[in-house]
Amino acid sequence: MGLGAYTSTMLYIAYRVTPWLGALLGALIAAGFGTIVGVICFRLGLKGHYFVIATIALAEIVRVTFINWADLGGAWGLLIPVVRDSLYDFQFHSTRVPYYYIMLLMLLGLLYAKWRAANSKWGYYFTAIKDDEEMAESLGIDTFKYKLLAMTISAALTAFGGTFYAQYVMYVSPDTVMAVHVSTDILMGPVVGGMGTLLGPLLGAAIIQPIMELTRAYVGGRGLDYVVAGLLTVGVALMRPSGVVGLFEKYFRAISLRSPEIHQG
Amino acid sequence: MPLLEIRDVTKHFGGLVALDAVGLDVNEREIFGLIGPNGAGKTTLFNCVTGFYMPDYGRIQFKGENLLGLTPHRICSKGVARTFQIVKAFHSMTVAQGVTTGALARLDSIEQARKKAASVLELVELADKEQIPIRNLTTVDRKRLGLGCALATEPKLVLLDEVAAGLNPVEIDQVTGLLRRIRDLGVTLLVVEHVMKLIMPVADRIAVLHHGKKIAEGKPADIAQDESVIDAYLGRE
Repeated sequence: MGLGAYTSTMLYIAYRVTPWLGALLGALIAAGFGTIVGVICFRLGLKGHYFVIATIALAEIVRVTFINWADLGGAWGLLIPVVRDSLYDFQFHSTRVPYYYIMLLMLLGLLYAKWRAANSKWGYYFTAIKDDEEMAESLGIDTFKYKLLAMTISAALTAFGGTFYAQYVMYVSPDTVMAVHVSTDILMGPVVGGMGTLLGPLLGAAIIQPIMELTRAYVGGRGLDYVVAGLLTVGVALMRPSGVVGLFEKYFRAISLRSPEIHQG
Repeated sequence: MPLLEIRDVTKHFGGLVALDAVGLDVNEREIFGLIGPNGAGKTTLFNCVTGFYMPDYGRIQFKGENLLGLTPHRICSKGVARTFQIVKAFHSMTVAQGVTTGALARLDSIEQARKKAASVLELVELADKEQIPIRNLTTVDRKRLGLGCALATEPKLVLLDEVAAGLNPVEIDQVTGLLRRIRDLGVTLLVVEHVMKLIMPVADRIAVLHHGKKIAEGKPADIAQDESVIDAYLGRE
């Protein structure tokens, strides 16, 4: 996410490249980075918790690197120059409504892609690898290749989200787009809603984000929102690993694209 | 030329010799039984043939082609499939989805893979359960499913790891019939088994492993009379 946000922002500040193109380039860079991380982790045979720890560590290395990278604003971050509303500049100030529709289109596009993937060879293979990697390998699935594919795709998609975030708040810094809580923010939705389902992550986000907003508004900020959201997430993970969607499993049966939980810097 | 040729395969785990210069020839369209006490090295041998372990020494060839050093999925694509002793399964899928995943090894289209899966499910007698989530299956059905997934990859050789463990006598008879039907389709079977009631009538030949060594090989009737096998494994009356 951070790489996407920084790529589009830097290109915009330096060359006025439209953030739309910047988002594509950011996705490419993040995909490349995700692939390299994947090759290293998977060749080392890292799985499960160890893989997660390794990706968090790598994300932290990226964050600290950016904090000390003066040309990219260092710890101060980068401010996106404010211009008048335009689609080219991906800026809307008189009304925020366009952001909503852009996000909605991105969401629909993503859901459509997920739905298509769920009924493809890729979807079957991703689910198989998540369920049992050895069994998948024994059935002729190149688990290394498909895990790498999952890494690359999720890195690219997250980078796209990074550009949107940057254009929305008009400011990027290592601590807003590369901190560990960015990864956990992304992950709480799927965990609460139901991992590996089409609508689970959406439902989970729709539950967890309002709870966090309400906590900040009525109880107080300074991390208490994460305490509440964290407790809820851990509770769901322990007591109902299939998530909220699991409650309605009969009605929502669909295997779908699963990507490993990555922590993209 | 034998279909599967195993020569001098040796595998150590630290100081333990799991396999000690084991050699086997499995011929085409044969049901070959591999028996031996727990810890004899049967599953280790399976893992060496299917690419999950790399032997320290030896040679493994399938249709005259070397298998050593290939990843499991490459070995599968050459036509060698396996089942697992501790039944593995894709627990978030239905029976039909699991077998379809296997069929995708040879097919790119989901539609064709589903058709292939349907015919395999017919063969392993799970057709009526195809919409059931795999995690709800009984042990017998999980074993049938494991076999179905393996068969869906269109193998020439299937390695079965304790397909009858935990089954009752009626179920064992059903599995015996199933193994014969699979062989009649032109698939060669290498079967690790503890249940003598299953392996003795169905196997063409049997090899006995003990402490990582092959101590006997021959027709089931001869194996049942072999002194060293009786001492090591079958026991005396």
